[in-house]
Amino acid sequence: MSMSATSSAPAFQPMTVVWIAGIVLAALIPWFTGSVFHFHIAIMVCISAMATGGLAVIAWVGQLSLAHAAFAGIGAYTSVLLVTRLDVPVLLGLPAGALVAGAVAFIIGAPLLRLRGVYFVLITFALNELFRLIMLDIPEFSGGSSGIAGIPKISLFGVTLSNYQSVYPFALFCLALVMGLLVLIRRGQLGRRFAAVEENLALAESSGIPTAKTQTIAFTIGSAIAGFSGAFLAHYVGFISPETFGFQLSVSYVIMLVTGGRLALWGPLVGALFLTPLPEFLRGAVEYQHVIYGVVLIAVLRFLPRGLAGLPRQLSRKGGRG
Amino acid sequence: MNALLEISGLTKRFGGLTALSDVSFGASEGAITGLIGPNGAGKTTCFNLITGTLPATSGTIRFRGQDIGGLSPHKVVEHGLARTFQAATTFPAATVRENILRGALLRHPLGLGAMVFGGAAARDAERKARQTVDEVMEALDLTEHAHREAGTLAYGHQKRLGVAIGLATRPGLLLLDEPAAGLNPDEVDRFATMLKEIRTRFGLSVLIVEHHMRLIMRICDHIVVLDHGEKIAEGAPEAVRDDPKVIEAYLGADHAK
Ligand SMILES: Nc1ncnc2c1ncn2[C@@H]1O[C@H](COP(=O)(O)OP(=O)(O)OP(=O)(O)O)[C@@H](O)[C@H]1O
Ligand SMILES: [Mg+2]
Repeated sequence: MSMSATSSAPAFQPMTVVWIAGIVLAALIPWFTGSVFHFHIAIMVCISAMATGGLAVIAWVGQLSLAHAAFAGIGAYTSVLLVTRLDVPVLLGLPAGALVAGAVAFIIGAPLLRLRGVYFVLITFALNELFRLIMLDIPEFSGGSSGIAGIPKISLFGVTLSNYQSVYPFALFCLALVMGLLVLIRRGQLGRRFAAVEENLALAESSGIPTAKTQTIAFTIGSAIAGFSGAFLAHYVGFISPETFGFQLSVSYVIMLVTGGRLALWGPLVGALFLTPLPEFLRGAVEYQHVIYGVVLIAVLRFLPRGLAGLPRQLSRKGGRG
Repeated sequence: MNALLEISGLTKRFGGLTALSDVSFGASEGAITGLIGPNGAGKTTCFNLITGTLPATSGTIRFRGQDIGGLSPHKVVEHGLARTFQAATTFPAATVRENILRGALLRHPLGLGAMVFGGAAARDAERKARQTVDEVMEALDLTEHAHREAGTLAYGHQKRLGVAIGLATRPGLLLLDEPAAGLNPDEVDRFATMLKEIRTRFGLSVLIVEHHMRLIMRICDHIVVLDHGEKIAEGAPEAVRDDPKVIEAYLGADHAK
């Protein structure tokens, strides 16, 4: 991961070009097949990839958040309430969702991030449950367990994106923005600080890097991205409830990230691209999603320590030696 | 000589254990000060208190006349007080150059915007920091390893890299915790020469913890001896070496093993 922060490296490594080509091809599939189902899955991939991208930013400073779904939920409810109650345009609701999720993360980040490793995982897990319980407790805002239905669709400057074919380009655009932000962070000084904190926190701190602040920045950016993805999901699916953002969703994001490659720039995209369609295409397997994800996770942890994004490198190393 | 670092009444208790008890000493500008003592004497604890890694139970720490007690480690480095760790400590997945750069960038701070979006200020900061990196790599004889991943370096090189990262923050005082531990006699000699060179070249003062007595006697201008958390002697190398209390502390520790 360090090579990304070294500006002496070429702007695009050959592997990056291969990844980009593969991803662009995958993105075009719905247009080739014309299938509405494929458009739907492609949109869901975009939303998962954005959320997982946010989770990756947090992972870059060495923390694994199991509250990611809750931040997606904060973004979703923020946008939905603004749009339905205050008539705010959806196009403003989406960034507002990101902003509020980021603000919450910023406020609770400092005390939370003092915990590390498994303790941080546990406290964020508890927070996700807390979010769900609080939302169930305030039905006048959250719709309680029956949720909020009939959420307005995304509309851009008066044009409502009413069908799958029209939502998809906008989803791709938003995903490109998120990935662009990730690329900027990784290549800039902030990414260098993130990597330093992830690799050796004590040394980073005594090299003059404010590690607590750096982790809070990562947590804030990552959770804001989750908020954005959650808001997008709400306006796309048209229905949310506290259960939508339960800890299972957090676990799914973690599995996507680890499967794609926890520290790889393209890891979140690859993970979401691989895992989102998987249960949908295995006929009737949607209800076994968690089992499938679990099996994939075990396989990845066992055979691909760097995730799918690290696979080409792993193969070329083996080939190079033989 | 001026006292660059002044420590007085420094005490640290871990529960019932008093790791450091009412210790006072100073480190002079331009000097190499040795901090020695048997295992468990409280040397590393003393470093941890000075650098803000651990809070002191009581006592004051002044650097260039300023009270730096209670500051977090990254603030202490900003004041010009850098440290290395007892274990070989690097950023293992980054190259040697990148490791040192992470220290050097301290002197070229950027706003959050420039840190994400780059721009002229960010490029300028990085260019200047890279000059420091080249200088430090050359002084510590790491240039040939510039592009190696730190985690793959030999132990001795990793220890030297630790010193390089600290040096890149351009400290006034460098705290070295057993920099020669695990080095072979040749490497120890080379390290001694190198340390004297970088002191002159970078206008450094040094506070060094080391068990390697020959090295300590050879390079130190002044030595402070700790035993069981208390200062038992202080003075010129020869005086300390011949001090009966020091001899007893070391022999006693050896007998106890
Ligand atoms: N974080 C801590 N918590 C509890 N006890 C500690 C802690 N750090 C150090 N100690 C104890 O304080 C005493 C002094 O330890 P310290 O590491 O400072 O010794 P040292 O002089 O550096 O020894 P060495 O030469 O072996 O490195 C020891 O008894 C040690 O067990
Ligand atoms: Mg020690």
